[in-house]
Amino acid sequence: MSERDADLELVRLVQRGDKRAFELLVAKYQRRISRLLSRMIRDPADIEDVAQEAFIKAYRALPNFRGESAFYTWLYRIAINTAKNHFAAQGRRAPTVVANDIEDQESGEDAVYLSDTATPDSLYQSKQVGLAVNRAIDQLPPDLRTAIVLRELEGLSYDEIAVAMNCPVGTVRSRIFRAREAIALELRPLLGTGEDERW
Amino acid sequence: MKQEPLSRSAAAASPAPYAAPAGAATEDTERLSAWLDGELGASEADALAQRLLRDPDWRSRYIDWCAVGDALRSQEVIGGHSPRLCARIARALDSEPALLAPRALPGGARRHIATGFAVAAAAAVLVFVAVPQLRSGSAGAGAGTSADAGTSAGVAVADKVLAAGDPGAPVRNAAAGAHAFNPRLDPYIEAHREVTGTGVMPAAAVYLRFGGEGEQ
Repeated sequence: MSERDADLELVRLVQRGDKRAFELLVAKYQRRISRLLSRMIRDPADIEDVAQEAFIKAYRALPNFRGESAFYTWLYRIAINTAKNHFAAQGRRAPTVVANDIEDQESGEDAVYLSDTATPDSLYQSKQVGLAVNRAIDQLPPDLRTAIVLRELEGLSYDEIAVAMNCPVGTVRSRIFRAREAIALELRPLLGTGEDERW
Repeated sequence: MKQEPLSRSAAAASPAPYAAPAGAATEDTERLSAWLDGELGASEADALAQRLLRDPDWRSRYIDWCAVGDALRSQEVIGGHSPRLCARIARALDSEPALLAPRALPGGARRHIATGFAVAAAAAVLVFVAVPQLRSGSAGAGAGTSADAGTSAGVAVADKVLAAGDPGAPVRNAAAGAHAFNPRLDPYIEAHREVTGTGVMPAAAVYLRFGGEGEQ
């Protein structure tokens, strides 16, 4: 099983009629889609509108999703097309260089953020997040820190991390879980995912 | 702002006091974390996904951990993101119908099934539409229906051709009478009819094509 399979599990639940599973996919990919759109669209309100439209289009098209590509790759293409339609509806063309550049990247994972679309608020927020992440990472024991970095930044599997850290896979699993919990505790006030919100 | 992802060097920084998060480290939530990374066996995945949908605490953790991953990879992803977006999409989803799609199949399997359906549909059309029409055409000829008029007209034309002694006429109507056949073939034709019955296209049986000489 891979991360792609975990997404596919949620997709199957949506295809069987469970909308809550789609909400989890939205929760997982909303930031990446927003970042992708922010490379094409300047207005933050438009980014939200297009992101929402893209997710709803994806939901409606989900019965046709056959799992031949990763869910995110499929969603990513829908978001790109929705952004192009947004420009077409306004009688404008999508910024060609940016759109082509984005489409050249199969998954969008390595997309470079265009700093000139950032607002003062988002810059401030990014700085706060950066400080919180660094604070949380610094407070972690080295084993936990290494495990989460190898997983989230280097994309290593648990088996590969176990080899790199010379420990059992079960230990890797435990370390990654504990690191996530610790960083989430530090970030939670900045995430906007409090208990009073639906998500 | 330039992206400043954490690097391996971050792991080498000096450790600071660490307190385990409250209520942490149960075996179940560890499995959820492993599932998020795609590191759980397929046999456990379905049950875990079902619980994830039911358990608000798990949902909360799942959402937080997704955000942690995004924050580690790029702080701007969190910083530039509107926390309202999820709620907006959730409200929009409320007005969408639940999906009830058939289980997604690989393209190849889908093509085979489509081909099978096409063949079955063609066979059904042949059996239930074409054959009854052909059969009724044959029966109608004997029952004095409109098809009978066509047959009679054909007989008349054939008779005229025969009367004119046209040796090049290729088609003769069997219903026109015994004079249209070589009498020596009658036993053979009778025997053949007994064996074959009416056949799939009985309406065509009234026509006989003569190809050789000496059959006039």
